[in-house]
Amino acid sequence: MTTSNANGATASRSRFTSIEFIGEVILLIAVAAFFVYMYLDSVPPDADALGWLPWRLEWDNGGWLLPRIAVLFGTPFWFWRAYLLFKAGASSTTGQIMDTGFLETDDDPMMVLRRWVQLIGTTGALLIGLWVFGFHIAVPAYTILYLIIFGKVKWYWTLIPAVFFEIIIIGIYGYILLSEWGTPVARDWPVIGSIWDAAINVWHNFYEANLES
Amino acid sequence: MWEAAISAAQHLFSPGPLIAFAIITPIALFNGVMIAGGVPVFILLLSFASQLDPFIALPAAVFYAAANDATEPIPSILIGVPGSRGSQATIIDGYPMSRQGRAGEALGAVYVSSLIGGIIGAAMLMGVLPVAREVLKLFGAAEFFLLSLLGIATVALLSSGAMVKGLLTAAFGLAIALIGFSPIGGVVRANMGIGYLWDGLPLVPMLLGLFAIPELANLVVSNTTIATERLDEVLSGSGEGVKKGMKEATRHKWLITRSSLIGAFVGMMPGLGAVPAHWIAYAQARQTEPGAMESFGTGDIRGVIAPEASNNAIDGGVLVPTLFFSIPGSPNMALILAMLILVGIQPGPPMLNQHLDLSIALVWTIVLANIIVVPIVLRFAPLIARVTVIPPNILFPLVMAIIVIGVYQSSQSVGDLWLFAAAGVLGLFMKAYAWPRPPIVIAIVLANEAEKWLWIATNTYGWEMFLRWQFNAILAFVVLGAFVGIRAQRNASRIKAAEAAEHQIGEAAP
Repeated sequence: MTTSNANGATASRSRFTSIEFIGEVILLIAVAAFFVYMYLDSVPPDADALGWLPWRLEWDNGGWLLPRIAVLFGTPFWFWRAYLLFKAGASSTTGQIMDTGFLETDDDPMMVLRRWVQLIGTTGALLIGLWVFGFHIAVPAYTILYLIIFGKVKWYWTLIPAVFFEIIIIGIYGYILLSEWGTPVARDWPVIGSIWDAAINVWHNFYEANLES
Repeated sequence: MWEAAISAAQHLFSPGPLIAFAIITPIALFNGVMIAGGVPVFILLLSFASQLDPFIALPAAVFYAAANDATEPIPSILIGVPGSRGSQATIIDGYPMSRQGRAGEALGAVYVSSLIGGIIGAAMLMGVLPVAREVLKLFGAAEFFLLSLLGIATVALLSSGAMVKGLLTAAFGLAIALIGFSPIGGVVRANMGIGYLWDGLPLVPMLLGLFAIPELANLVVSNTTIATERLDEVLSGSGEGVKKGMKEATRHKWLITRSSLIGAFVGMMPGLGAVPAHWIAYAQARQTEPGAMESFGTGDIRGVIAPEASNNAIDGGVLVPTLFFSIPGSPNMALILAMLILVGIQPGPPMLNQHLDLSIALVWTIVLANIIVVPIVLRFAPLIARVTVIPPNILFPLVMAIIVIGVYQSSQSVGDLWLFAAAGVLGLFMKAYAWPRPPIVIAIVLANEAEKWLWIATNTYGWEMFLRWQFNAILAFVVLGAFVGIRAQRNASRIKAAEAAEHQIGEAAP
């Protein structure tokens, strides 16, 4: 192998292992998986070997038509995109009008990575917090902790947005729009659940005595 | 028509919409200058929409979009950073003016041209109403199915530089929009055995995940803020020039009229949005104004008047394909379309018959937004500009907290939160690899309509639906329009690239 061929092969290998390439391959696989699932789901479960054919359908009365139009319309473009990706590499993020990719940053890659971890970690923690502890606790707690840890805000200033969100949750959504907030997972836990019930009873008594009229 | 116009004014000038405008104005003004742009808050409005009267929800959304546009030039002129992609051309002359100590003059000229542009755009929309009404009378189920499908495909087709990805995304969007119970076939489709998906994908968590999470990630990861010292330096003495700029703008009324007509016309082309109109208006001003070939790019006031007049005129133009033909004229209009569905109104003929007063109310809203917002912006531009110095790590948790509350209101189920997270991951991938996201939104919004019309058309006409002259006329018109649109986009990209190379403009925030 000549030197230029060897360099070309190395460049090609590194292109196929780059995060840009792998990321778009994952996106293409996700789209393909859904197309295949959508198509196969319209086939009766007890279909024979020819069950995948367009006229062997579980979804009757025309319910199958548009899903199959969507899948059949998208399939050639899927192959076209896959071909372009393997031939020319990952997408350029320039030259688009309706979507633009992320802003470029000159910061150290480790710093950028740290920000991604912060973003994903805090958002994941917020969602799990909402599920486990509910909105009344998770939203103010998230706001206070994020502002103190990452925003470098003094703790007493963080109480302003926390109280603001609590007012929105209880006042606007709870009492004006009559939203239901569901039962958080932690309310079924032995000790926390009983403390929770006691706190709610205190609030209801206070509301009925002072605010209901 | 006159009765509808009076009824529209009565609805609009009642307490509900006016209170909504008062609440929305500061939010829209501050959001317009933020790097993440106004989209996350716009989507958040959708979470309230289903609980509001259509005469409050829709005018509020249109008012928000118009007010948002009004603040876009502020960061472009004051600090040379475009608040959105629609205000890039303004930088070329606006930023040099600001560096010459003429920031106030530029802002004064921008807002007079925006005001006149907005009113011309609204007048164009009003003028098109009777024509659109007659055209829609000719259409049947086959044509409405075609329009729904074209609404999805056209936006994908016009995703410049990403046509294949755009069309693939449109198909993917249409497929996921059909998850859940089918009112046509009476079956549950592709819900993966998950009970939450029985009713299909709720719009609000999908939209907030797809759009808000990637934009907020952009804000946090790029950590873009502007130094306070620089802003103070620029703003010192900006107040005096405002009157001079306003007077200067009125001297260029024909330039404003021409640019506004370009904006309104480009706005009517499906899927094009603000960017091409901005650049085309800038290019025509450079080619037609005396001495502009030499002076543009060095701080010529006409270089900010032309793009900003076209920018505001677009607001009227883009409502035409969106409201009457279900083909959104821009990503923001895709969200307006989503709001129409959420408040229970179908776009198309109903907007010209049963809801004609609502259509006209939206025209009044554009005019009203420009009249109300422009003086506020002129008075408070320095204060509004200070939003750009708020660190992302302070903005992010506040916006995220509001968003998760909005997400949960969609169906008040924990499933909303998980769908929001999943859509966020999808949105991050799509943004990272420049797959256009608007086709997914439009597909989710229009899928049910498309399926309903397809079922009626196949049962009424069978294969003969493809032979109807109306069907083929729409197809020919849209193909021609898309061809013109693609040419316009290419021209705009060429002008933009040439100007960017000449004046070293950075890439815009999305």
